[in-house]
Amino acid sequence: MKYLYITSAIIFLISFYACENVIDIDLNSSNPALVADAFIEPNKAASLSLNYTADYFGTDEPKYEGNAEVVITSSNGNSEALQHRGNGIYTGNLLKGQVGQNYELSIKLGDEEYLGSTELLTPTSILELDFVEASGPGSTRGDDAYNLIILFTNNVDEENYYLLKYFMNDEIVEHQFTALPAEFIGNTEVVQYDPLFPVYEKGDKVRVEIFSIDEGTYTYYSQLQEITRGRGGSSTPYNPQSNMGNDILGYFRAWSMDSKTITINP
Amino acid sequence: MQKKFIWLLMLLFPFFTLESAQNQNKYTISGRVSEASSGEDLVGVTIYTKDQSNGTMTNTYGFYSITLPEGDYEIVYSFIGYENLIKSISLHKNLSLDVALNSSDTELDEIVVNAEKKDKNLTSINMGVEKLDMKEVGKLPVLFGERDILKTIQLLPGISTVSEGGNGFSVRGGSIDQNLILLDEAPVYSASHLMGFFSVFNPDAIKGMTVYKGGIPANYGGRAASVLDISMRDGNKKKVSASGGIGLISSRLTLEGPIIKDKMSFIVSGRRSYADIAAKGAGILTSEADLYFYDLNAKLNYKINDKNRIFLSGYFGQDDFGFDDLGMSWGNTTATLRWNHLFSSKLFSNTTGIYSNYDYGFNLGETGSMSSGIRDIGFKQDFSWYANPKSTIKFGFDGTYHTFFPGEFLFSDNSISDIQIDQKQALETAVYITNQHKLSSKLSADYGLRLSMFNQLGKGSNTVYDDDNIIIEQENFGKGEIMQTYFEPEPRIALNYRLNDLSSAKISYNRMAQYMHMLSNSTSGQPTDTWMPSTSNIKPTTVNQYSLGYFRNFKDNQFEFSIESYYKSMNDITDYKDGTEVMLNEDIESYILQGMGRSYGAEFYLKKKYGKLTGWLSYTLSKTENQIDGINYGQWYDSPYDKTHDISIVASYQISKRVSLSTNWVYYTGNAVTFPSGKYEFDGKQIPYYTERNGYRMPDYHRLDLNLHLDGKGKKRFSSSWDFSIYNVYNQMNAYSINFRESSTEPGTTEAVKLSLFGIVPSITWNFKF
Repeated sequence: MKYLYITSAIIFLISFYACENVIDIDLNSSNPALVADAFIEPNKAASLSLNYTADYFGTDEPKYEGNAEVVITSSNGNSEALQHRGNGIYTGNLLKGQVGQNYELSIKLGDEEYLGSTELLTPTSILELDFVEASGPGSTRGDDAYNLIILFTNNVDEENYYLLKYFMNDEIVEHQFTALPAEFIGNTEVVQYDPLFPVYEKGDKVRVEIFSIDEGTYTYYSQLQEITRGRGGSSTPYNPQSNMGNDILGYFRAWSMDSKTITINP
Repeated sequence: MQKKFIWLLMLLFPFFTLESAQNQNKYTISGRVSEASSGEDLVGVTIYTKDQSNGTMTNTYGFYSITLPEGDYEIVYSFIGYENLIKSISLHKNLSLDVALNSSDTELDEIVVNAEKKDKNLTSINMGVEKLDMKEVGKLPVLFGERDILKTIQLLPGISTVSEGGNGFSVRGGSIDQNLILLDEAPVYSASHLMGFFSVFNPDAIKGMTVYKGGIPANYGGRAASVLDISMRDGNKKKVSASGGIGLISSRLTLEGPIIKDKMSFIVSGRRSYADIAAKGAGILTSEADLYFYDLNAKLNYKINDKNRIFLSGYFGQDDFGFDDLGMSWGNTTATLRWNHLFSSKLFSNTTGIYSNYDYGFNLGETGSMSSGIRDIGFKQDFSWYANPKSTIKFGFDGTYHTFFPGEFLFSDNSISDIQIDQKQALETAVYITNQHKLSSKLSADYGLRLSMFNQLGKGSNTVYDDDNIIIEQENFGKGEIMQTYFEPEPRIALNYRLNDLSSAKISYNRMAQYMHMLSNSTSGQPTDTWMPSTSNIKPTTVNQYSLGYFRNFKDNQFEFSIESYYKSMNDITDYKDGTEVMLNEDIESYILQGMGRSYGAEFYLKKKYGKLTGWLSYTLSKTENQIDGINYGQWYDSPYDKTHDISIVASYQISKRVSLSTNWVYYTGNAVTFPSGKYEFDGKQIPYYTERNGYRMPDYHRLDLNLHLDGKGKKRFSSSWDFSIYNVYNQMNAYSINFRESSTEPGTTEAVKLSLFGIVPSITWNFKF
């Protein structure tokens, strides 16, 4: 009987250990679509990267757009034209991010104008970044698995959403992120958040960045999270909705950030 | 056009009634047909006069009634897998005749049973209907040695698998929520265990099932694509017995027997998976982890007298999946109380009370918990009037009160306000009448009408949204007030024209209305799917289906062959706006898009029913498309349920009395899916860019399974058998999903990743009975 139990467990677990393979697949080319990746942060000028989509498996640098007229306006009436600095990057000089202000970004290209707005909220400050032995589903990996414990401040007078980015061992390109809705924060001055993922091992150096974001930015990032997480072939993927119109991809967000680094050293 | 049709139908019914009244000196033979050894009722037994001029079939309760002119007859009782029984009768008064049939299992070699009416498929009016007995299901190869009726029906033409391992299935291009699954008349809302790898139907407790994909009789309603009517066993009326099985994933045990011999019997059947116990034993899982399912079927039946019988049946099942204080669980509960009453030898009545509940919940430890579900309380009254040998009229009414619990999230932290989506209520009612009518020796018809009505009831509010999902108007309703009413006439008609002794042609038309919609963020069916009613914003789905079929038998009815073609137009099918959050969305109604769908196809089916080698070959060629404003720029696009080719080959060979070998091979076109046609960089990440809905295909799927069934040497009281199965014999790594992501080895570049679930999976199951 014992033998049966063990084979049962092994067969069950082997089968559920799904097998992943990188495969070749032919994808169609599409007409290049305009992509705006724009942000403004406290005490810094706005920045915009204006590019076009490329073939999915293409290796060339994406084409950029250098002929747009870009203007940023704040809710207190100041505005500034952003200058093209090359490679589709536009930046400002004078108008700097200020907490509590609303910003509107206008991109004019030929006859088209794309308009988006966003609000800059109070930066959080990370009070504590710690780790604990993993207790979630990741714990099947063995004892050498750790989850983070994060304590950060929250301005109760604002409806704050948060974006958490996790960078491991200074690896900037492949980071993971979590978008936290205001409903989960509640009316509290200190938020404790213990993410179940990612799971870290002993010796990992982890940097956590927490961005205060508005509702629109939260919605955009949670859609982004959904389509990049890889939900399987059965659901229908889509393009996250830009705040700059239906005929453009990307987003214009205002955000403020605090970060902290820890080495998992139990 | 439709209205005219209804009036025509209304006019026709009294006419047939008059015809029956004119007949003289006719008497009725009625009674029940049961299995000799266990006393279990047999469903679908053909009863006919030896000259084959008149015939009938037993209903779900084993009851039959046949009215014939005065005279001497030889009446044949015939059922596949059982020896024919011939009764000589001198008919001069109404007769009550209960009969019992003996299983012919041990005499498989004697194929020829002369009197057997083996051409039922030609004489039956129904098309798009398949009856499966558990004996047939039992011999097929299965995943992990778990017999599963939902897997078996996916091998039939017109019924396709949506996702490997999953239990959601699509019938003639319909979505998975368009299938009505009934267990002893109670609807089962989520028919899967272990995230969809196993169905909730314990094979030991199931007697058989009928699946209707077209020509759906008017007594069924509420779903747009199909009906899967599953009946539970009644329990052995003759002696107490136990049976069970030990498999790799779960074990089963069934106890049954008489409480009062030949009058009252019971059956209790339980099943539990033990992968978690095993994994804990082997140290793979921590002791705090949960990973199991169990279910319990129970039924009690009591024959009060020849005219009255009562059945009480219930199902309870649960899945638990969790680690420490984090977890998820889901389960169904159904209960049915039925009363059979014979008003006369010609009028059979069944009264049913139904309860069904489905719920699921998450426990997120210190954060809080979430739950959602649906509950039905229903009543049904059905009459069968065996008016004359040419006409059987069924009529009745039903009503179900649905309570929808869309979901709530309760936070442990009291400073955070809970998310609670208001529950919704609805009353679904219907009346129906249908006539199975032999118009001439060659032409028979089954026509009927179902009138269904759906009322969404308060407490609640009807909300008007603008295009940006913002509320612009709201009307509140008190408890029990009618918020929205929908009414649909659903005519059904089927004709059978017997071309000659070996072939027949059939034609049918169906209109079906569905008032409930499933909210899901996948097409394959998940425990977290939530149901919601039609509301002021969401219209009921209606489907018109036309089908045409040709049926022919070969070689003394050993082979059955059929071609059926169908065309279906679907109205108000649902989909979502891009990026819709389905779970816990208070304004979900404003995110639902409705549009049209169409499906058409041809189904080829060749079945060998008798002999040492049995099995079937089925091939479906079909096309299913949707057109919904707001999706794919309003253009027609391939439905996620579109499968161009779908082939199943099923064969079972009886090597000797004790050994049989069976196999099945399936092949189908990959699902229509949305893949990216470009990419862009945003915030340092490569993001896929999508331009066309369902513009790509998953790779084609194919797989071969084998099963060796070995009966033990039958001892007097104890018998046992072994099943050795191999799933996916040639280890085909079929794609479960294809994901697009940034390469982890070469940052900045992108790759496609195929996920495969099951390679070759051997399994072994031991079954016993005493």
